[in-house]
Amino acid sequence: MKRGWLQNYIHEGEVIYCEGPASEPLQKLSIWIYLSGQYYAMHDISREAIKFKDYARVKIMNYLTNDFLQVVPKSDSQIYSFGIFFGKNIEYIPRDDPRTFLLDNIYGFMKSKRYFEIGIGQGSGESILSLNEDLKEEICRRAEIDIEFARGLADSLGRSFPLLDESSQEQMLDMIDTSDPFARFFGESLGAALDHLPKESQNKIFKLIEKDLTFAWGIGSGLGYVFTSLEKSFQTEILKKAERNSELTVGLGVGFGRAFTSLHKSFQDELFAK
Amino acid sequence: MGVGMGFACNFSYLQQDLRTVVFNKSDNNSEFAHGLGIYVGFYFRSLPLDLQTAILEKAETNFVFARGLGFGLGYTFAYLPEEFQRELYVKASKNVYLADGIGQGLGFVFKHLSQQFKEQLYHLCNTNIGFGYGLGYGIGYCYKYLGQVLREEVFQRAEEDGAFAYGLGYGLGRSYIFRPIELQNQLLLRIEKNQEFAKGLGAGWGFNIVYQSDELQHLAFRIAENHPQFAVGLGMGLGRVFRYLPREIKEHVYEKMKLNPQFAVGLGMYIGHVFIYLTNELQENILEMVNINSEFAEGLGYGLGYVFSLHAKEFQKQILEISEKNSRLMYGLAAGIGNNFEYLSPEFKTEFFKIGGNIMFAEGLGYGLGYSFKYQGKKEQEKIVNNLTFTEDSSFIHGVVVGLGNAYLYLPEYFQKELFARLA
Repeated sequence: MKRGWLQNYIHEGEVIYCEGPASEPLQKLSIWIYLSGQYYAMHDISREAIKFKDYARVKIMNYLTNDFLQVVPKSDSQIYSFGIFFGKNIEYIPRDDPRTFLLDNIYGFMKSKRYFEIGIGQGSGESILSLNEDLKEEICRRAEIDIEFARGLADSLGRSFPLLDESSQEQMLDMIDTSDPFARFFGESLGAALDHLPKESQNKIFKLIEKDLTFAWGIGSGLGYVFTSLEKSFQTEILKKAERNSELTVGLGVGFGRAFTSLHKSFQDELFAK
Repeated sequence: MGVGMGFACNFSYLQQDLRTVVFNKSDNNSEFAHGLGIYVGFYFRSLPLDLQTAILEKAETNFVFARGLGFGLGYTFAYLPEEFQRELYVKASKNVYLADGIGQGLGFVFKHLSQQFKEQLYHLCNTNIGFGYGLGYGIGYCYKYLGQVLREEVFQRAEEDGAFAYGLGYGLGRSYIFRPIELQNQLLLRIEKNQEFAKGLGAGWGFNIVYQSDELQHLAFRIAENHPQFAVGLGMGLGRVFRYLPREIKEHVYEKMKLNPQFAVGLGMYIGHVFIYLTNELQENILEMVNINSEFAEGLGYGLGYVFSLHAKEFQKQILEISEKNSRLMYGLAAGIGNNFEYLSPEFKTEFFKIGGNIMFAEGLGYGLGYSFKYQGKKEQEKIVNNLTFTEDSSFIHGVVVGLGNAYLYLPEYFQKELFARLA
């Protein structure tokens, strides 16, 4: 029972935060409770079943920050999830200056744990729109400094891009000029969601990849990954563009390679024959 | 290249038989090997230990894979444990291709590095020719992200370091069509002043030529008519992608080869580099061309020599036999070997000095050593300097002098003076 939501409340037997049960818990819990043999098992895989109130977040982040080295997990996958949680709640980290990105000890740890850094970037990307301007600016600035942070941030911003309003989309697209990791991985996640965008936005992005080779690579990789699920006419349009864009072509290859095991046998053979 | 990268993203999740197929594919397709290496390097530390060992072993025998692996490791270098970083420095000092790749990866994220680390990397360029190429390439490719001060700094660096200048040109040439017109024009002006930069720019331009408009393709060939080093580079770039070129461009290349000797040298250089990855039919056609075009033969020899120590013994023997019948091929072969002499095992070095009895081999070896003098180890440099007597009629010395002359502008000032003193 320590896994899942309880883990967020209790650590090493110490109660960090306690709240009365929801009025109809079972209905909300149904997505993450299942029967395993004779036991009920509970996994909050998406880490989203529990919605914390702000004051709970402040308390949790206070606890995690103050005892950081004691609570930080050891394995790469856990550390990555921990980073995502940290990033999502970055505004609740106790800080004296609102522009401070992370406390020194946490930043130092982040620089030695690549997957924690990616996670923080990814989490920050998920919460960036609700952050105050100072912190938002600082996060964007960090994308020019911290490589893996930029990668995580770019990845989550690319995925949420279709859901953003036009001005936020413009802001995101401006950021591709900041660094190679940002442009590359933003392009990669945006490319996989490109077919969900209106034609006008697609054309704007196609225009950008004529001038930005790293972004072109990323868009190609994303498109290649979902290529077989795209409409025939869109596939043809992409291949046509790739004839005149070397990096889009390389990126498409990356996407095909990433998706290789889920491709049709004849397509797999064709790829190997190249 | 891309497909190789994609496979590597999920490499540890691939079933054993597919992983074997992928690994084997990297032995007969150079671009696939390069891409595979890149992402395997990117995720290297997350892979199981036995796979890490197998990957490092592959990097010893497959130089294109090694270059890719180095790229991935270089890109993520700052996140590697210090002990592993030190291990990589040692490996890079013995494997010029891995060093090239590490330099490339670090060049891609150059702007993210601390000033102190940047200085260390510049210093490393002075002693490792592969690293210099790679760092220059990465920086050139990601030039867009550099601030004005850093841009000036890297061009200043390119004035002093030939390998770095070549790499910088290659990175900028490969991304030429993506650059704003003003920058394109500035780059064309720079080829007037820096020959290694010109060669690199041509190589990068040639590598991507099939993606360019007819206008840009023609411009490249026009520039090559008046700039010998750009022509060498353009040939190199086209040589790298020769097997993928459409028939009409291949024919154009054959035509240019006859008209422009420098272009022919460059074309041969990179074809020689990736020769073992070509189909048997293409290899045979190329070996026939060696007898028709002597500049192409010299270039091909250089490319074969550049990676000579990595070839199987039987193939080495075959190449030496063919070279004995073609003096220009022999000269080029030895020049390529000399260029990377620092990275050869002592046994190899002794072996090559034995072939020194062949005049063309001796002159070529001398040329390669002279051309890459700056990057040779202290011991090798001393040996070369002590043997330099301009009165002696020796093919080897003649080669060294020509090589030094070609790289003169990039030599350290104290050595330039010493050369002049000896002439006096």
